[in-house]
Amino acid sequence: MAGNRKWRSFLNRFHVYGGLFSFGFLVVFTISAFVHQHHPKFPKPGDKTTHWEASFTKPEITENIEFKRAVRDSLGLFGHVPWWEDYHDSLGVHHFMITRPGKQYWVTVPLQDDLWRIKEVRTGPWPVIIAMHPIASGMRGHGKGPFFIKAWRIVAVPMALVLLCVILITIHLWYVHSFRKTRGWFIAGILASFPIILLIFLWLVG
Amino acid sequence: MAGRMRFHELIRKIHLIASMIMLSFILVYVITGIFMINHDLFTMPVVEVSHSTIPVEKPMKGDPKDYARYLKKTLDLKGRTEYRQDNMDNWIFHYNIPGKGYQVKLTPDQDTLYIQHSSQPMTLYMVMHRIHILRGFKGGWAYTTWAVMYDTSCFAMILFAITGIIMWFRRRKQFRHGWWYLLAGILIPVFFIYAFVLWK
Repeated sequence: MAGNRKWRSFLNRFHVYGGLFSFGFLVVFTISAFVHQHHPKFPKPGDKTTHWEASFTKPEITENIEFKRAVRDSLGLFGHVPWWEDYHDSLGVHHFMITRPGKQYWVTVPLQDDLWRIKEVRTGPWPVIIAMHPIASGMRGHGKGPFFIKAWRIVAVPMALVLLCVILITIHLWYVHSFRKTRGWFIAGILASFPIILLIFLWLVG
Repeated sequence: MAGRMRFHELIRKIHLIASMIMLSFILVYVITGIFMINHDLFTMPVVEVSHSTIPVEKPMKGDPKDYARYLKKTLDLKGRTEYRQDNMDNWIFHYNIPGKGYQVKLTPDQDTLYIQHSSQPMTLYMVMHRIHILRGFKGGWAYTTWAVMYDTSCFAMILFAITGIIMWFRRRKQFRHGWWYLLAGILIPVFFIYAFVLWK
């Protein structure tokens, strides 16, 4: 009996404290999930552009993508080098982009000297909030990124599991305290099983 | 007093119904999400592609949606249907089911259909991946239903979070460490967001 009371008290505390702990995670993932379905247009960053220069020897690499990755690493940056954000201007100068959530860099490849010019555009927190969802699985091919990419990957799993437990406990508490009518079972059954049935239908029928 | 009780009861009900709506979604997305986070433990199966051409029996007139349906029926294709016109004025029709995809290209002179068939073995990881990225309103009633439910679930998650905070706030003396948990839960994502924003 005492053990039962202890268990119930634990569930209650886990439900409340775990729920409060999951609040930020739930909001971030919900916003990004919604954005991934609807792709709303966000305002373009305003005057948040800076220019800076760096000096190092041009890498002796002929393959374009590998060359750009080597430049990125030499600049001490991380992020993707999209193949389509790459052009030669009318003077034959090569420009390409390095991009990651929160920032974009346009790199101007020097023609003769070793002076690299970089235009840095800060895109603000919105694109980062949206990217937190896919970044939970890491950034493939982003280079030697800082510690927080891996750390977010490690943090995301326990936070998601805590959230799942909180929801299961909510339904468990409802079952224990006030689950009396057949109607309750009916509503719970439909709400919980319909998405799974639809998913199986989509899977098998297409 | 009675009004406050009614409000509390309403909040409790909203919290409960929201939890029931989101339960299956959270279950599906947490399980598939864990697979995706640990993607490097799995090998990606190779996509095999084959091509064929067939003469056009019935040219497209009018709505491409009708023609997409006609092709689906006559070529015995399955899956989510999408179409677009490329910059060469070809009409491209896509039919996708997990593991298989067909792309049918109709040239502007409407004499040949180019069919590209791609298939990928459905390993456990691929199944999880496909389920996790399933979204969007296009592709027929089943996909639209899923997309509406996906949005409903997003809305339920926000309601679940807000009503949860209200319910805790009313009993904050009983759960007095709540502020710390809430603060930690908010500061952890904020730390990572600002790490990305402020890093070189």
